[in-house]
Amino acid sequence: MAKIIVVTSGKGGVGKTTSTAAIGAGLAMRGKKTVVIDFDVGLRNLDMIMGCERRVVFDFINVIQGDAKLKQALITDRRLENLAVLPTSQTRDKDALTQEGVGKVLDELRKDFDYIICDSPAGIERGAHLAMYYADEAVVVTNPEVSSVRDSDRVLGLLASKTRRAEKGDGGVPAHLLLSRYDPARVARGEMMKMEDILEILSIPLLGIIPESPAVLKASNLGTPVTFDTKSNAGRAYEDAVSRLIGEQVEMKMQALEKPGLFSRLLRRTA
Amino acid sequence: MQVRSLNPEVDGSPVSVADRPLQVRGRSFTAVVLKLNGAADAGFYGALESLMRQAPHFFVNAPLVIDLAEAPGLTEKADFVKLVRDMRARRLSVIGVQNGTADQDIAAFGAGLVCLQGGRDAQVPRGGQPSKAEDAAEETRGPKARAPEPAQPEPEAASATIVVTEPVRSGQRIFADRGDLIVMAPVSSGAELIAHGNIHVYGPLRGRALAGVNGDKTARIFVQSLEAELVAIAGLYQTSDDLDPSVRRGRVQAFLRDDTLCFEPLK
Amino acid sequence: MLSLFRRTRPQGSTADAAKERLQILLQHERGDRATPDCLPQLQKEILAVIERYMRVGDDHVDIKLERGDELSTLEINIELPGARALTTRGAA
Repeated sequence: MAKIIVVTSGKGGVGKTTSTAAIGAGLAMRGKKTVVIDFDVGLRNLDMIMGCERRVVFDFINVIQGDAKLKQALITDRRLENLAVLPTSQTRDKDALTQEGVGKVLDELRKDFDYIICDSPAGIERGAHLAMYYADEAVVVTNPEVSSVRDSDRVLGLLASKTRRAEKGDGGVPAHLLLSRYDPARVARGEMMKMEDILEILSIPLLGIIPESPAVLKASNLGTPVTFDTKSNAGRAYEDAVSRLIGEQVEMKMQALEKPGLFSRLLRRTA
Repeated sequence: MQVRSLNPEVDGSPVSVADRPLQVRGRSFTAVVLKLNGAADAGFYGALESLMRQAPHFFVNAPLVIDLAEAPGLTEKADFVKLVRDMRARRLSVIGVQNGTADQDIAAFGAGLVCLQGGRDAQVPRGGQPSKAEDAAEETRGPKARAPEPAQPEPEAASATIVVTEPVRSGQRIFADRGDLIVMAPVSSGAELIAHGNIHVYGPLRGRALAGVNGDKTARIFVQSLEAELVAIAGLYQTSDDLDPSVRRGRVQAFLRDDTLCFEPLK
Repeated sequence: MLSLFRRTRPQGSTADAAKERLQILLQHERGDRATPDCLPQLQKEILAVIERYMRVGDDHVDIKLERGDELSTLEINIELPGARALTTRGAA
C-alpha cells in the first residue's frame, strides 16, 4: 500500500523542497517507486531542484482540472526510472487546488507508487493544508532557530487536528522531525539551540539531522537531489533519514559527534 | 487532538410520559434584573440603548425582571403595559417585577407580569460586557488592564472535566467550559488553555493558561514546569515578564489571594 | 555505480550551471507562447484534427517538451490502435 508523506514546516526557507527532493531520490535509490509532488501553486520550485524544469509540459493543476491525464503530467527522472515528479503550475493561483481534486490524483498515484512525497508550501493556508490533508505520515523540517521551532509546533497542531486522519479519529498524522541547517560547531559554542532542546520542545521522534553543508547549494545549482552526492555529509544524512523512514534502525551519527573538532574536520574534508 | 469529556451532558433524562397529560418539574433560570431609577422616560431608554450597543448579545433571549425599588412612580397598569411594549420594541422580554409596593405588584400583575420575591442578585459584569468566557479570555490579551469580571455561571451547569493526553501545540486552544482542564503533555508557546475551573498541566506550560474565566476566584492553576507566557485566574493575570524568577521552571501552583495573583512552589 | 547519477556537465562551476538553467527557464517563462497553459488547448486541437481521420483516445497521447538554449523540442506521440505509433516531431 502506497504511503503518502507530507514534507512541511510552516516557516519558509527551512529546506522543505530540498528535503522533498532528497528524500524522494533516497527512496528511489532504495528501489521504491516514488513520486514527488509540488503543492506550491504559483511558485514552482521542486522541478528546478529535481532538475527537470525544462521538461514540464502539464502540471498538477492541469490534471486536477481535467486538462491532462496524470501520466502526461508525470515527469520520469532521467537518472532513476522509479522516481517521478509531478510539478505544479507557475501561472495559476492556489485556489485551483481543491480537496476533491487532490484526493483523486493521490488515489490514482497510490496505484502505481510505493511512496508519494508532498512538498508543502510555506505557511498554513490552502496549499499547505491540502498538502498535509491526505498524508499518512509527516516530515516536519525545522531549523535550530526560534521562529522555525514555533512554526513547526503550529504545524504539528494542524497535523493533529486538520487532517483526514484526525477527522477519522485516527489521532492525526504521525510526524517525524528533520532538523536541517544544523551546525554542531555553533551548537558547541552555545550560539545555536541544541538538538535535545528542540526535541524536548516539539516532543516528536527525530528522523534525522542535516548539517549545514555547501553540498546543498551545489545540488540545487545543478538540479540534482543532494542524496545523489553520496560523498557529502548532507547527502549521507538524508540517506540515513530515508533508512529510518522505511523503518530501519540507524544510529543517529550527529549525536555521537560531540567533539566539534572532529566534525569540523569532516566538514573541511567533504566541502 | 484527542479530548475526552468525562461528563458530557447535563439534563438529558427523558421521562416516559406517554399516558400523562402533563408533568410538573421544577427548574431555575437565570434572569437579568434591570433596576429602574426613576421613571421609564427618554433618559432611561437612552441609557438602555447605549448599554445594548456596547453589549449587543448580553440581553439576547434573556428573561428580564424590572426592579422597582427606586421607581415609585410606576403605579398604574397602563404604566406597565407601556413599559412591556416599549421594551419588546427593543427585543427585550420583561417577565416580571421585584421589590415593588403592594399597589405596584397589583398593577404589574394586571399587565401580565409576575411578581417575584426572594431571589438573590448575581454578580453583574461591570460596564455591561458580555459574559462569554471566550470574550473574557480575549480581553486579558489586551494591554495591562483588568479584564471585566464575567457573570455568574448558570446554576445548573454541572462540572465537566476535560482530560487532554496529547501535546497542545502553538495556535491550539482547549476550552473546558464547565469545569477543570487537565493536560498530561507539554503545552507549547502560543497555545491556550481556558477553563471555568482549575487547570492542571503535567508537563511544561509554555503557552497561556486562564483558569476561573467565569469569575471563579477560587480557581487554581497547577503546573509541573512554569514557563508560561501568561497565567490568569478570574481575569487577573501575569505575563512571563512579571513572573518571579524563583518560580520559573518550577513545580508551582497559582491562586488568588486578596485579588492578587500568587505563585507558590509545590512541595 | 553512484557515479551513474552524476550529471555530465561542461566544465565550470555549479554557480554557472545554476545561472544557465535559470536563464533558459526564465527566457521561456517570460515570452514563450508555448507556456504550459496553452498546451492543453494545443493537445485538444491536434486531437480534434487527427480524429477527423481516425479514432484515438486521449489516453494514448503523450506530449514531451525539452527546452534548450538554442532549440526547444515538442514531441507528441500518439498511439494508434492496430498501427505502429505515429510520431510527430516539430520544433517549437
